[in-house]
Amino acid sequence: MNMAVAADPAASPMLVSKMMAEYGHQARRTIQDYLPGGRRAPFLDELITDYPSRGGKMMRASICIASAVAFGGAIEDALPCAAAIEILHNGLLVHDDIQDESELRRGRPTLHRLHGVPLAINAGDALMLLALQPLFDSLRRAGVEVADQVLEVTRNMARETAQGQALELGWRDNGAEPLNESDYLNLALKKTAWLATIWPAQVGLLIGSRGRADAGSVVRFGFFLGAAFQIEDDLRNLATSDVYGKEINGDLYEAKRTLILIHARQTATARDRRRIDRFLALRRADRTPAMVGWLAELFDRQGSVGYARTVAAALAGAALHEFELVYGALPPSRDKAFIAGLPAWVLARP
Amino acid sequence: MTDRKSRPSLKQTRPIRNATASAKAPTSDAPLELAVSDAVAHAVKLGYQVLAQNLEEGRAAAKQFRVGEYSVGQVPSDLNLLALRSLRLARDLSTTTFDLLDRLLTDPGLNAVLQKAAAASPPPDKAKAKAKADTTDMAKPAAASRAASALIPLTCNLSGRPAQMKAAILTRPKSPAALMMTGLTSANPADPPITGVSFSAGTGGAGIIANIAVPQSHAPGLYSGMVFDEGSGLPLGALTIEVSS
Repeated sequence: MNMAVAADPAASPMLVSKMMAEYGHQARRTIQDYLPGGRRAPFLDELITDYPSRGGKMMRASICIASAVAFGGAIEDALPCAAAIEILHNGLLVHDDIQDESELRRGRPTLHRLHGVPLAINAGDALMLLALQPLFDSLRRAGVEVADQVLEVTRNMARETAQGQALELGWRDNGAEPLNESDYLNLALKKTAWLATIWPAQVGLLIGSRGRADAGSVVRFGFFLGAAFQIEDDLRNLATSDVYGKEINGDLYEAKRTLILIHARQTATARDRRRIDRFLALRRADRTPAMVGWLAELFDRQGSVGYARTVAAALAGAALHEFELVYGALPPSRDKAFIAGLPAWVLARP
Repeated sequence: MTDRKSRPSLKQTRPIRNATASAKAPTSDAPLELAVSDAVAHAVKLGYQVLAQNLEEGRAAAKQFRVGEYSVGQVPSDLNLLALRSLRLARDLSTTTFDLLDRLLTDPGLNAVLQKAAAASPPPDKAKAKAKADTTDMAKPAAASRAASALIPLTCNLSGRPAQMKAAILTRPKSPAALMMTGLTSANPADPPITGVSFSAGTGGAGIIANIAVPQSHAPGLYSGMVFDEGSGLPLGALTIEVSS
């Protein structure tokens, strides 16, 4: 593994945070152009603009823009695509929160808790469809060859993401046990990595290179980065920080099949394993704080939290390796340094 | 004169990436090979395996979807069609807006309010005709009202880049209709069109509002487009806006 990039101060998590704030700001302004403003459609526009206005890291948009610039494109060319990615992501979050019965999103009550499930579903649908507009605007400008390739990677992403969400819900609702680490990584690839890292990097690469670079080349980098991101996200859900903006231990109440849970179950005594299985079989409403507390303690006892941290770091390292293979030959630039800094950033992000 | 202070050379010049392996490594002049713990090796190996399997499945799926006579040349028209369909769907989701439009065009009470509003400020020639009709034939108020309400007041709700409405005309459809617009185009073919125009009912039935988000990237100038009855495809009017420089 070439660690020179990670050791390079230009590729520090600080640079990543700084550029993410910069690109995030520009993407937000573009998003505002595409979301309803001024006169309000009752029960709709307020809901559509809610999640996008709550902030967020804008990681997906930033990956798209940085990838486009690193491959020779202009920021302006990538901005509509970056906006489309974020709008779609917000639409999916609305539905995700309903499916998971989540209570908090970015530090505030989830949309369905504020407005009810039917209106929230409607707003999520609208966001996903509105995301097509900036995407098409961008593709018209990019030309037929690039448009064809962007649509191809978008179709892949849509299929993989839907499969991933179905897997997670299916496991949760049908009690598919026992799961192993391969199952988890498969889920992280489908549910998280395609939408969060692979697709934005692919779209940026295609826009920046005007369709001349191979979009398949960033799949491995995106997968390892996305998987590390997801494991770190799972770990943070166990933390007690209110900065996180989600429900503390929400994943435990939702019985999400995280790497931490899978490891704890695999290494637990037969008695504890039966207790875990009984917990997983309950409905969310029947899972008490005492049960969740016991599970969190078990995670510590089995070293599952530490194990997940090790795996997240290992996958981030693999992402750095893949980065070198794909982006290594590109001339040095701030955007290349940004992408190089992402694996370290996902583990140390604020 | 004192010797210049210098920093002693460091025993370690690279970060310790694997504390366990580093602690166990014997002190030697031989180059250290980065030891990889079992957990790390297992995770990375598993990662590659899972990915390889998925890529193979994806390749097989793509092969299935690729079967057919799809040509790259079809992409632009496909994009337009897809964009149009998506916009229609997005508007369909805004059921409240559509309900309002439908009510506006079918509800007799709301229609009366609309006709009254239209009659209050008719064009000069129509006003004369109306005055004549009022004095000569008091038995025909409905006909006069129909003439006055042949046009629906159309205003713009503009957001994004500063712009203003320059001209608008919208005739009343013969039956309840949903309005649509493919986009506002510039005289310069190099400028991209302004798309995503949606329509909603004005407050208290006072006409129709065209909601237009002007992207910041659009060049200044005049942009025009036709308003259609979505069902029949018949043109109902035209709209022109000017994007400020």
